[in-house]
Amino acid sequence: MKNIVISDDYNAVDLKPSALLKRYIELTQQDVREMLADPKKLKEGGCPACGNKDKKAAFTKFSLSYQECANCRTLFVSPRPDDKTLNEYYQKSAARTFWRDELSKATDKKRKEKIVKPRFQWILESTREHFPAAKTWVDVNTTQFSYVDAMADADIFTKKILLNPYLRVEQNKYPKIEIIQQPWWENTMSSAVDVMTLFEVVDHTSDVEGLVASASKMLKKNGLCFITAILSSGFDIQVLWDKADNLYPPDRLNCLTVEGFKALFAKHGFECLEFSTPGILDIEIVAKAYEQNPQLPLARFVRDLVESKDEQTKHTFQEFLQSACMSSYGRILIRKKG
Amino acid sequence: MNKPLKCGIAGYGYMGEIRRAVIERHAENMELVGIFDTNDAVRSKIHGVKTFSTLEDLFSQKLDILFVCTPNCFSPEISIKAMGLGIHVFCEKPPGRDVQDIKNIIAHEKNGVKLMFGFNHRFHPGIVKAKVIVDSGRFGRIINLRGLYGKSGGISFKKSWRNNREISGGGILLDQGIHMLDLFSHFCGDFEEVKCFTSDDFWKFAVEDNAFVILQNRKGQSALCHSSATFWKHTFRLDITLEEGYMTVEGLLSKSGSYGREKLIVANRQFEDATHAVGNPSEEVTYFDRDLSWDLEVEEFVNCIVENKPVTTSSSRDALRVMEIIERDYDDAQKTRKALQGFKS
Repeated sequence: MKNIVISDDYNAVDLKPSALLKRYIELTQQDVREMLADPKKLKEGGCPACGNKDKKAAFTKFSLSYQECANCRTLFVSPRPDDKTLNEYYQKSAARTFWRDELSKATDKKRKEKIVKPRFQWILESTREHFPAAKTWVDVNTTQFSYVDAMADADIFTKKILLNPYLRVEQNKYPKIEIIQQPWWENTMSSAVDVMTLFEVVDHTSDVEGLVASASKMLKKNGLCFITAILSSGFDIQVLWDKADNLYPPDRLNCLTVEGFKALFAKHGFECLEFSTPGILDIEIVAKAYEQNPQLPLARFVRDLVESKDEQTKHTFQEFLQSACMSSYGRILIRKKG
Repeated sequence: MNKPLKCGIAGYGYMGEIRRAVIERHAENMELVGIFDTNDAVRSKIHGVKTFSTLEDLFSQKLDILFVCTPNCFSPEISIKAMGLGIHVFCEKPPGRDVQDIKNIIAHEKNGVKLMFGFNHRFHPGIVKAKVIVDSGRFGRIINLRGLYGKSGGISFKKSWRNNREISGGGILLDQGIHMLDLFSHFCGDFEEVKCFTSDDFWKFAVEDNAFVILQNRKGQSALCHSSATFWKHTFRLDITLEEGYMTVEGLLSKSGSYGREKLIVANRQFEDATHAVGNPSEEVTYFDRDLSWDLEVEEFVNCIVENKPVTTSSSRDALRVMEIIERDYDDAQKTRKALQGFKS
């Protein structure tokens, strides 16, 4: 297994401008209350990662309760809506419409350069390294067109499929991509896929076990699955916890730990080839939260770090978080065992 | 695979033990049927598999593959005998003591018999990933390579057969530097021009304890290698400079972990038009924690046998090319030494 450390120069505002993000969160809060919080439609469950039943209440956000797994410390909403309800939310909610039409467009250029380009480089190089004969690539639930553009250009794959019920894509705009407007649980592909991408999909899936089992079914032996996710074991989430601005349902219905992910993969017969946390923003996120709310109860060490240390020290600390897999942005590559 | 390939090991030192572990990890494809070693004390410590004091007795086990893990002076003869019996041979590096040895081996590489050499560094994860990036063309062509490979020596080092010219044929360059030279060829192909300085000033063995090798090829690519037994710290570092960026493989996953955590540093070239300060680009560092090199090279060898494919990596041609470079290194270094002696007198 390997992990990577990246130094780069973007900041949170580049990717999520404050005013637009604030509006998105307001809309999300409103939509969650209207579309997802009906107690009759929620179902109690155990840890989505390791399956453990023991949990303790962590906090409540937008009237949904977060629990912490007593075993792997994964943070997850329970009781929770099912995937059909979430599917409807992601298709129809005002928040997601705002994300697609405004927030995403406003940050598209920076995202392409800082997120999409390196992510596709990662996919192409890792595929050449671990599965050079790969031909079929399935992406599940991409939320941005810049990904679809990049996917269209990835010529090492001869068959590219978007499995996605939300994204409204004109088929003739992407002649090289097959678009299946279907949720993952309805798909019947079996041992047909060489490479699969699940970018931030685990975070907002109700039946995580079902998703990973379905990925395993779709993939051929030795098939690769690329995953990105926000990790609750990461620095900014651990420090800010319930005050973390980037932790809210349903986008972060699950926030797995490194250990949680590893348990999940082991259970479903996957080998972990890479587990990296190449996040750039942990310290900046904590510093920004403290700046906006100086009453935030930070540990003395953390307060000193964000308040008094120079940029070079913060940068070095962020690199340490990456090398120790302690940043909150996770980048994972798993392989279905042969 | 229907039946596992029957394997034997000749020589049960450090490498013999490693090969045994690899064979046992691949029990579905390989079965260890015997180990040959002339040393009674060594044989008495081997359990769970038949041992033999003569090569002929090991050969009587109807082997498919022989792993040759003996000191350099014995490897050619053993490899040739095995190939003569139609046994596929996986031979540790170096492939003998000099160019003539590898030429003799190649002369017996008959059709159908597979022959591969243990240049396992090609299969180290940092090198595999660096090669993928080079081959992708993302950073353009390679301009030059720079390699450092060395060890700290020590009390046991003084006693090692590796420093006895009669047995080994050369010093640190032939023993360890050969991997770096092989990697240079792996990345850039053949090198036509060779320069070298050697010295044995510290350990005062009859073989070199330091070698400085400079290579250049027809494509204009240059490579520089310092192979040393006086680094005092186990060191592996390979810098690859390309037109649009650079890569460094540093540290090496090993049994002892003494070469440090294996990592690959990758960065784009940045000039004045980029956002970063010139000369200090953003880097991506990949850390590796599993050395699969021993397994991957043997898997490659077994695939060549099972699918009857030619051996194309760590092949006899690769072995010959690197031995030719080393022989030319030694010749060049010898000329310089003579010239320096002239100055002294």
